[in-house]
Amino acid sequence: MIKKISLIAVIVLFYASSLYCGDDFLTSEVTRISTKLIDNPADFLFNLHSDNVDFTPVPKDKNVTIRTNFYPTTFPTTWVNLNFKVKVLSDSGYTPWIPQVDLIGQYGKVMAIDMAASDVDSSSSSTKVSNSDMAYGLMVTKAVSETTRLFFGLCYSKMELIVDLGNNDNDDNAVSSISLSANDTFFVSGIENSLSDDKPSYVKAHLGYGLRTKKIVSRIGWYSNHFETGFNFYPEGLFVMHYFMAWHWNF
Amino acid sequence: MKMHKKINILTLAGLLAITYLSGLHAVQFAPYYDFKLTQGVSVPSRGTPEFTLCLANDLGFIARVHPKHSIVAFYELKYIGPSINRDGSSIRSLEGSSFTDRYIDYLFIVRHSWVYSKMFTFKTQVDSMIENTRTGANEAWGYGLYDFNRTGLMFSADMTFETFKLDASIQYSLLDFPNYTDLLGELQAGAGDGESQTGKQNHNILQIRSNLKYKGNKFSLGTTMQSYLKQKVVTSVVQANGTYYSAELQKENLISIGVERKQKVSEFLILSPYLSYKIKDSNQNYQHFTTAGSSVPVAYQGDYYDYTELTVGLPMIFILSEKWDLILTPELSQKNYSSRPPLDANNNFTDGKQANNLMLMNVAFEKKSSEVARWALFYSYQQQASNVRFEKYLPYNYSGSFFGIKYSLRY
Repeated sequence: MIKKISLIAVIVLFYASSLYCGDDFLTSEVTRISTKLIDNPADFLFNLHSDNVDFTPVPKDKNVTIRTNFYPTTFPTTWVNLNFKVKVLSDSGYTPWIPQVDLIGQYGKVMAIDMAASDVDSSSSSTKVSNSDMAYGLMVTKAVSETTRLFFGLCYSKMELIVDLGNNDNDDNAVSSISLSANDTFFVSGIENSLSDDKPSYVKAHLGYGLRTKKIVSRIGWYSNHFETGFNFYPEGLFVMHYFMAWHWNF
Repeated sequence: MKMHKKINILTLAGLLAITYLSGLHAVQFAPYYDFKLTQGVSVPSRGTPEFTLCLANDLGFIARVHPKHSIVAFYELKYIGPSINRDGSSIRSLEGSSFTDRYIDYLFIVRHSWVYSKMFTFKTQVDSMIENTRTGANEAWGYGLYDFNRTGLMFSADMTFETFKLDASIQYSLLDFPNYTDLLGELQAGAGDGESQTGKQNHNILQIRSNLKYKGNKFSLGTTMQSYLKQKVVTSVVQANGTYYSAELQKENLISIGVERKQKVSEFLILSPYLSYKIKDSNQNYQHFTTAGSSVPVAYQGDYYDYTELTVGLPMIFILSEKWDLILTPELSQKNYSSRPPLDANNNFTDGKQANNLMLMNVAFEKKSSEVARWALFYSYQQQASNVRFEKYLPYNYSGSFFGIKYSLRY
């Protein structure tokens, strides 16, 4: 039982550590934040998941992009993640009107929860934990000038955290499971603009709209050869703005 | 709602498909994209500070399908967060709404332009808009009381003369409020044969406008006629059906007159003073209930919604450098109700006529970072004074500050 409590404590600590993701701390916000977290914890996790998802098109002269978001997910919440993008069609490859087409895939896991769960599992075979986030989609990109590309596409996105505590002591009032899950298909459109002729330096912005939940996710980011930084915006989220940092490799 | 959602998705898909099909047929074509973000803090004197976020995402294109014919298609998705200053730049009257309301707007426009001659250009436009509102923390999108769907059709003519330009337009719109009802209204109407409030916000709008542009001056004149499809006019006596509603449907008319001028004072300063005057005339009246549970009105007020409104503004653009501008925008607005007396703190009418005075001062430093990017730091101060003292539900006397950052990427 103590280990089950410790598992719940890890999840609570996960939430608490995530609170440092936001930058809009004000005393007057505490009540609102607490209420929102209790009201819809899955939405907060989904926003962190959305920090991991990326829609930036593969650079014109490259074919594959691998990206990982290390703040606010890998650090401090131990949410490791990888985002893959593969170019399947090049811009103006066959005829001038053909756009670039990228396939997107993303997967992530919260290591702290997994480790705590394995600890619990070793002593209690009835408790099961699963947590993951994933996304896949297709993006279409077209260069509209030497320095500017426009892109749009569809992306299915899902986050899930399920803790089955396996209470079988016939206590009707006992918590038997914690299940947090959110998913939607997003229509995304955005713009990328080159800031420098000499070195890779870009600004990009996108807005995604959940077709089922009407959820809005948005990003303004700056990126160089490998490093990315910027802000994610979740208008109805627990924290409206998430500062993020990420790293990518282009091949 | 589901049908509108499908229409929205189809519209968007169509817009994107046309984008590429236009390329196939070698039509002269230019895409358009605009991303706008306003992130700030709103600090009203009444209520709690709110973080505010406004996001707008515009997709569109212009296609010249013939030397004399072009088509513009435009889709906008816009989120407006809680604020005292709704979009972070222009003022929007808050009378009848609270600081914490949030909106998502979906707007789609297709416009055809026909350059008939050097002098005449004709335009035809179809537009569709859905507005979803969230007034409570747990209210789901799509279930807002004041959600509406608007469908419109517009014709306009632009005339270019040697020394001036004249345009005139006529627009017809139908507004449907699918979720609207007023249970309190039904209770207050009393009697067993009470009127259902459902659908009473639905109305048609006919707008006729004209602008005259002459040497940096712009004169505008317009009228907006609203006719409600179900909302009937309230009377002072109980009708045969046991309600206070007469057989006459609600009709409103708003006349607006405006003048503005763009004056380049020097290489460093541009002034754009403006003045507008509005006259609202409605045949709707009002029965006053002092408490929410009351079904017996205590006062009847005729011409309750008629008012005049005068607005004066003086935007000043200081060109600090090639990339930096300082923009100051003071604005004053006075709204005087023709017949409506103000309410005291106990929700009772007092002597006189209701008057609201609104003052706004915007200060913004704007920078053009690149060909497509620009951002601004802004501060906005807003103050409203009114002789209404009943502010249990909605604020009438308040001041507030709104500051933050705006960022846009546009191609």
